[in-house]
Amino acid sequence: MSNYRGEQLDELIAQSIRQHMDDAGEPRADLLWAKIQQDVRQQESTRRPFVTRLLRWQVISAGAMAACLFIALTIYPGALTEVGKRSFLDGSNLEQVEDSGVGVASREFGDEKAKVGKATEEQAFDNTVTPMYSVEVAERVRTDDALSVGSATTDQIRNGETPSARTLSPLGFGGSTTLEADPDGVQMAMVPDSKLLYEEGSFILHEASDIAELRRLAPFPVLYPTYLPDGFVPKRLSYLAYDDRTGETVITITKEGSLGHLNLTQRNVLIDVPLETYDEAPDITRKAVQVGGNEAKLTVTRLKEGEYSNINWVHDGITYWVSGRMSPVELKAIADSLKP
Amino acid sequence: MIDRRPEEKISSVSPINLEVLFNMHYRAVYNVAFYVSGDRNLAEDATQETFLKAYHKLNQLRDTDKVEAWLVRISMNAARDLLRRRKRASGVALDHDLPDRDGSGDPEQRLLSGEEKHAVAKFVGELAPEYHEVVYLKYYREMTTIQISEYLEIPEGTVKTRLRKARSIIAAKLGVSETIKRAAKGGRTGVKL
Repeated sequence: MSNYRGEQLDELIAQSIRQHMDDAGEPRADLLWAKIQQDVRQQESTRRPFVTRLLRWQVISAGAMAACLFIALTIYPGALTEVGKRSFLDGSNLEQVEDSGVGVASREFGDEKAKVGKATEEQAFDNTVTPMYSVEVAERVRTDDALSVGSATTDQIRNGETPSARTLSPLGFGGSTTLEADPDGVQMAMVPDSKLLYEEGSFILHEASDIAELRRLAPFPVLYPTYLPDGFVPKRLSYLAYDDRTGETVITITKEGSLGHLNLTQRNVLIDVPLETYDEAPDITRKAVQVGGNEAKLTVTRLKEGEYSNINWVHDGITYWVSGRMSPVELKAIADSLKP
Repeated sequence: MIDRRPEEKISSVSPINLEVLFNMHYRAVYNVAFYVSGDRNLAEDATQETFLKAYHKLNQLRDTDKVEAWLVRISMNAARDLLRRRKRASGVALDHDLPDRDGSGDPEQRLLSGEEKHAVAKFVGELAPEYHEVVYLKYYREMTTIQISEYLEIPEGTVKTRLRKARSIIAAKLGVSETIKRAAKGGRTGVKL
């Protein structure tokens, strides 16, 4: 067994671990953060297909039920209802019409009309983008509101009406489709598969050597503080391009030899992320402040080691976040000094 | 206290949470991942994975004082998993071999030798996760047993027991390795290689 005494062993273990950790170096924080953001967005987007699948199964089930109904009526129409008995057993007014392969049929009998109908091109939602249709039977066909975002947002993004700002929703499904029911009959409508509001591509991270280069990279005006506390110098300037029109700049400013740091993030995309309960922690205070005439939220997280403050606001479609391990007063002074 | 009105529950606040969390703790998370893996790239991957897991589990957090401990635990596990997967994929053991050195001499004189430390670091890395964790907090983070107890939310007695066991395992391995090395050099210890 070992000849080491307790203190020697303690010292040896401590030195071994410190030596091992000397090789750790400094993690590439900006790159890591960019990757995390990208992954979060990708995960948010991959959640949708799961819901899409659910919706698809719903639609397939409805289609199957419609097919069963159709078969049942064809084989033994009188079995279902009194109306069925009266109508279908009188073969003279039974008319089988077209079947386009998507379960489309129309029946007309007597003065009563029941539509087991074909949805028109206008009723179908966005058929140019989503060629695959399913069949759904309902008195009112309506996609679940909970799974859809407002049509304004949908249109806004689809049409690209706001070049400087877009909204990415974490649950971005196609807009709702509502068909009024024929009170006397059953309506069958085609609804398209849901389409993601946006597609994630590969984000590209650029690093700039100075603010001038960063401003050339970003497709929006990038602000930079004219005031910085003593010892704070820019360490890293990066632009993460989501696509050719949108992205975010991150300016990291640090103070050598201290924990003090500042991150200035500017993004021309508004991203909705569900509110987390972490936000409700008792050691976080929040209040409204004014930055450059804009209403901003100042959040201060109190830690054992000090304060972590951040201010965020939106101006002209651009979200600004100034955050750092410093007092809220100092952070606010930096935010107030931001200039294009 | 929280100055919060209903209209303040705006979505734009939430992304900050992960960013705040990241900025506050990425070093701790990365360091522990490196401690486990000894590999910078793997440590960065584990850090990334840790914050992604954190993002999905933020709502389970109640006590922000425990955030770092929580992240450190996730990071340790993530690093171990990644290391295991990498070993399996490569089919090669990543552990470093013990350095060859002369087994003679007083351990006290060899205390600061790089080889000795290298060997100890290897033995530390081989500890079971519960010992590995307390050793990191004790010897790298320089926490007291009470602080470790609060950090990990385990009784102080358990911390002491784990540290004692970790020390004995390392000491035993050091002793055995010395014996083996002496035997390899032709000593007559009777140890089979």
